[in-house]
Amino acid sequence: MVEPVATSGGISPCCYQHAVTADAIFCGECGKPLLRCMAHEECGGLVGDDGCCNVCVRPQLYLDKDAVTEVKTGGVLVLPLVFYNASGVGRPLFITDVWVREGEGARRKIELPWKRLDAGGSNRLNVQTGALERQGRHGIEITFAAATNYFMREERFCFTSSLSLEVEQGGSLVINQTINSSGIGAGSDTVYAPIRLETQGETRKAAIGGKAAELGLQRADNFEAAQGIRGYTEGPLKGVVVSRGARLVWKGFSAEDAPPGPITTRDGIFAMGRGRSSRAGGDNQLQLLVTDAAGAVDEPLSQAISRRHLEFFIQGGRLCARVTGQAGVMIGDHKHGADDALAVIGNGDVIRVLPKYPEALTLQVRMRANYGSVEEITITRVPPMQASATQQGTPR
Amino acid sequence: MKTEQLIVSDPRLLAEFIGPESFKAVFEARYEVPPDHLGLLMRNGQFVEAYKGAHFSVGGLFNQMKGLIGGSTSISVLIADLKTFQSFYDVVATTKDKVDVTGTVVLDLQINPEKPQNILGMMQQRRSLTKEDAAARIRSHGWERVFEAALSRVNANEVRGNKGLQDMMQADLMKECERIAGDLGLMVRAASVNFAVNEVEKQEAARAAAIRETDKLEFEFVTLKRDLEREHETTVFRMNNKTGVDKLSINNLEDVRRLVLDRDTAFDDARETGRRIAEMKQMGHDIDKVKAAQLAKLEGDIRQATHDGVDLKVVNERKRVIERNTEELDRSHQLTLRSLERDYDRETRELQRDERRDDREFDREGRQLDRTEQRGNRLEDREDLKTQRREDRDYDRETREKELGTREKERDFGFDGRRKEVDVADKEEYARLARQRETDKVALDKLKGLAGLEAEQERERLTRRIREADAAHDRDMDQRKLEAQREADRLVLGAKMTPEQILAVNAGLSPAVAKILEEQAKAQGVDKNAQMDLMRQMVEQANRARVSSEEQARAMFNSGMQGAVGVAAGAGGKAGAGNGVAPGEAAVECPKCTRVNPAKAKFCVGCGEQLRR
Repeated sequence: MVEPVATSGGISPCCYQHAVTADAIFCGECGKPLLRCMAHEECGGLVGDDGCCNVCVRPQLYLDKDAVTEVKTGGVLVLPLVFYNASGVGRPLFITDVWVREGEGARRKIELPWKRLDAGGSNRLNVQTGALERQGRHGIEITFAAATNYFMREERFCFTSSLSLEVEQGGSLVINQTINSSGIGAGSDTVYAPIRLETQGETRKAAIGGKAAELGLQRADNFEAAQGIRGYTEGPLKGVVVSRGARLVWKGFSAEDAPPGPITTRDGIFAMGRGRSSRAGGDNQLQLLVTDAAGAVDEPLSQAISRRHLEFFIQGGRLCARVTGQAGVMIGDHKHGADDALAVIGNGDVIRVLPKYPEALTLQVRMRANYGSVEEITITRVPPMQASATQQGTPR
Repeated sequence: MKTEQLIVSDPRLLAEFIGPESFKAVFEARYEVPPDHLGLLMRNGQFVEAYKGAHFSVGGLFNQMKGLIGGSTSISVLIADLKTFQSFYDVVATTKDKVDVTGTVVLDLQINPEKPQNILGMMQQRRSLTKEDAAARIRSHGWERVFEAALSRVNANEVRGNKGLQDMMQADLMKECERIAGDLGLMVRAASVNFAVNEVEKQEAARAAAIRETDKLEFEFVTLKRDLEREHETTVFRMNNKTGVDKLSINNLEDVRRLVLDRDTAFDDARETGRRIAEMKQMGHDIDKVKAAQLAKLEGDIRQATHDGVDLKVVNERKRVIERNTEELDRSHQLTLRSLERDYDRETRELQRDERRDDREFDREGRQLDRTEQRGNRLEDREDLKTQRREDRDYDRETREKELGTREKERDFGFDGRRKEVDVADKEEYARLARQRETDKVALDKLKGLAGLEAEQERERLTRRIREADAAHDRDMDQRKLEAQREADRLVLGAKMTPEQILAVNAGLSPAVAKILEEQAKAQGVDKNAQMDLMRQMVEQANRARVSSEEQARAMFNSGMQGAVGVAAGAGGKAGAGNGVAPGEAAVECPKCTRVNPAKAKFCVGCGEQLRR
């Protein structure tokens, strides 16, 4: 089976086998961290560094059987495209945008009359090219953005396919020639003799045989970053994409509470709050408590932190936060309450866990980008937590 | 006497009074009214006469005398301009489609020449009447009654060039003027309105300009297209796609799946065919190479064989040498023959000369005998001697002839012998050449046989390789088709699978086993979460046990799985009930996080610590 989607990160079958174990974080065979799809509960899929789940996102693009493959100079071409969702787990896809680019020209956005593409379903779209006024090879690039949703989260990926129009000599050529015939005693006659030279070769239409053809798809990661579909769109990290497997390095926490590593939870969400961490039998991945200068837990302020106060996850090539605590969170200069579902966190952002007490507990975010990709995110707790803080009695 | 012309003092005036003080003079004064003016002479408040192009005299001694007798009279003259004059003013009216239209009205007015005295009714203070004042009397009445009324019947885009509209407005205006100022001596000779461009017309003009521009572009496009068509009438674009032409019909889901399978199979087949074509080309190249090597070897062998005298060139050369030798022999034979013939002729001539000399000696001896017989009566002796000599001569002749015949025979014999020798030598040479040719042919056939045998062997070897490649290709294609079929089946089943089955299938189990596991999970799980947790545990167990068939799955449940599942179900299906280690399975504890892992695990699934190498 030819995969229409590039295998992301080269996920091996052993990882799928060990991912069956619910609390498995690493593959027992190859030792790689298990990065689960956000919809792992439904699809059981894993993702690579690009965050694309091959189980959920399986678009296929076809050129329909009615495609006209011949056009004379100056004509236009209509490409009847068929979008097909080959997902085997019943996950719908949403085709949000389609662009067409002819040759070296600018990309042209196509208005889509539909969006949803159920698993196993197909939708049609006719794309018309401009006038082909020169002979030679014409390249047509079709790019589209496909989104997959799971609850409040959405991941969008762009795929591209290239067609080429190849010119061949053919058709009929008419040459008008004039013949002057003369004979002795018969005067002279002028004969106009048009000659039609049939040089047309066999037509491509017959070769296609009236069936549709699949167009090879390729991830357009550069296009995603350029269009802001994935990655940051402004600031010093413009065009930079956070890898799904980026390591979160926690500073100011004890190494036992917050070991560095990628987000390997089943839903891909790193939860923080007053509640205990999963290592201590709780539901959070990291416990947030306010401590005083001596390192003792400040219980009144800690009580202001919700049990599940903040969630980190990587979506669309960006580090995102969802505020679930009642007290809200101050990110930079903007306060996010529970209604502000999603906030994008950039390099240098300071997260004040308790907006009313901004200095009580803050998290400073630093990102390091290498070749357009962030592989490590450092989150520093201010003030740093003393080693004895977690050993003391903590509010539940 | 000088005549003074009476006209209005200002061109803007239409009519003007010239009072009696202007006519007071001691002497008689003569006045003239030009033809385009009207002069109304008033005497003592009564109209006396209206003059057009006339003249009259005032004053003078006679009149003064007459005034002294009969009393003085008051004379005044009203001068009116009879020429038409134009009046311009702007009007704004609303059309039928509620568009304000601005226009400039042009009125051609004139004092009615038939009753010019009525103009007095329009004059203020009996002094003068300007043209502007006269036109203003009509303007306000004509505005609403004429212009608004006329324009309200047509749309804004219909006012331009509308002759009927202009006629109607002129007629209405003339009628209104007749009604208003007809008895005042003012009449309208013509009226028209010059409309300004209104908004609708601007839009239409813009539209027309755009249409013209479009038409121009269209014309240019058509021209360009025709040029291109003429230039590239034979040019046809064909479209390819990079992936090749894989076919499927997408009428329904089943078609899509089947066609996905067909496409993949065809793609693999095409790729394999391409690879095999390359192999065949390589094999063809090998065959050519072997053939070239064999030919080179054969040529080398032939060249080697030519060293043994098999070369036809050498044979031909030798043949030519032999022929040359034969010719030389023939030529020497001819020379020898001619020499012999010359010797024979010479000897024959010598013999004939000797015979003649002998005859002469015989005759001379006979004559001497005769003379002797005559002398000595010895006739008989002489006859005897003559007979004896004749016999001797005959004997000598026979002897010579015999010697000549012998010599000739000897000569002939020598010639034949030589010829026979040459023939024998030729035949021997020919026989030797034939034998050599036969030998060469045998050697050549032998070489050819060896080369052909090797080529045949090489051909058989390549054929065998092609067959083996075909068989391998067929096996590979069957395997690919099987895999594609499995994938298609998985796709088909996947659309109908539950998440539990998909979980199991993704973990490498077959759909049948996944179905069994799902049945067990549903049978024993309390709720959905518990079922999924049970499913995960069962999939782990099935993977460890390498369960590949439905029977094996059922056997697994009948034996060891019941315990684990029961414990897990009893624990409420909570995730993490097991650490992925089956009961009884060898386990190892991670030294870093103390998590229990299967003994065969290379890494800890909890912390990623390497457990073994």
